[in-house]
Amino acid sequence: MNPTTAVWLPVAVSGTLAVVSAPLARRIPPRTAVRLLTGAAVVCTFSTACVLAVLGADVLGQLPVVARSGQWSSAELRSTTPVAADVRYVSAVAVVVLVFSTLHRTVHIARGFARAGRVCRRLGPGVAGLVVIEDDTPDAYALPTLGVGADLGGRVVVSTSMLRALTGAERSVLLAHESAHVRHRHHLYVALARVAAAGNPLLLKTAEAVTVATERWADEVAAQEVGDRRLAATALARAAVARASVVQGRRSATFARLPAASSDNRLVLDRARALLQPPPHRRRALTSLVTAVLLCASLAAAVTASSTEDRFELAHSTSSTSR
Amino acid sequence: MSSPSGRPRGALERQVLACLAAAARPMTAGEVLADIGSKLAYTTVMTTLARLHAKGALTRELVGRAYAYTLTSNPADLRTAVTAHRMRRLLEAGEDRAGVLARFVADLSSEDEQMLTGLLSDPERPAHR
Repeated sequence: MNPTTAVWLPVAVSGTLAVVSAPLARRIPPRTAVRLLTGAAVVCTFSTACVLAVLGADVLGQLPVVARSGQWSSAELRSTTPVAADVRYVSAVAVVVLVFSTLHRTVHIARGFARAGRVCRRLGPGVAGLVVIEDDTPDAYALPTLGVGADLGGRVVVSTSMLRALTGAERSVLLAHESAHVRHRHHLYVALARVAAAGNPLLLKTAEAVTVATERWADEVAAQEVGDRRLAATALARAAVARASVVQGRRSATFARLPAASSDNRLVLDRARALLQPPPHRRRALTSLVTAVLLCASLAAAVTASSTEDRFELAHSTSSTSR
Repeated sequence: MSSPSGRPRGALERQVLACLAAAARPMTAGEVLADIGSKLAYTTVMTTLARLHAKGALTRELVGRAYAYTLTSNPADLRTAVTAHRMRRLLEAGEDRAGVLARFVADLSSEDEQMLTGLLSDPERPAHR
């Protein structure tokens, strides 16, 4: 594999993954999309980091100080490395920055989960994990726990005003949706995707797609449980409108009206539309193709990394024998 | 992770609790059944109510020949409400970068709100199963 190609391969793969994530997630079952995209993001970030690290190590290895201590021939290294110097320097810097970014995001998320765990414990066990709050703001959400010790389940928190805004059947949809988040541990997939995106900012779109797909996954579970997709769509719409009328009303009373909706806010509408259509088919061919391409790309990156390492070995042995 | 009926574990208990919390008045098993849905058996609902009562989540009083159930109110509720409010304030302040919480519905633009309201008033279409 031509090393120059290998430099751009991780970038190309990451960029492609980012671009295809949302369209792919719309066409395959959400459950598959979540797993596939999360796995792809992790693999992509890891192999990108490996390639960058090996390329960047060239830079470090060629510094006279390091070369002397490692008994490498820096002249030999430089001559055997066909990659341009600026690429090598950028790689070295990139690795350091991305590793810090990844660690920072991981700590931030871990703190968030710890906080959620504390809230869960303070809320008490509820009834089969459901906690009802007396509140005027319609709200419903799932709180995860990391499942250490006795507190294995998360919580579903719903406010009384949300419950009252819905019919009995619509309530079942809401509860099924939130319970699905807890039961299938969606927070872990989302966290993994976000950590991967921290280590590879090209994958921000992929992390977004994973979050959206977990909502769609929970919607599909709920729709199946109640056996009525139209009901699921109606429940979603009614809950959104109920919340909007209270939240928006408060907001315009205190601040200026917020500017046009971000992509975030289209989500409810997209979800409702998806529920009014049949569930996406399993597309084994497409899923297998995407998986295969990603595995090949990662394999190529690994091969490059190991062949670059071989050059190190060569340079090392050359310098040893020449002494 | 499902009960013998194929429902996820605890699903019925959550539905019953939500029903009673929404009503905010004592309800009999028959009324709960009518609210939750007709796919369930009366005895199933009755058993669930009795179980929740045994756990201390519900109190009941005899009304005629049937029990009417209501949520147990306890001092822990106030503390619970305070915790949830604090959590919500943190989240609305943008602290939830960690994506910890999965909210059922995000906030809407006014046009989306209109479209969704339109969806609600649509004449009945065949549901997909």
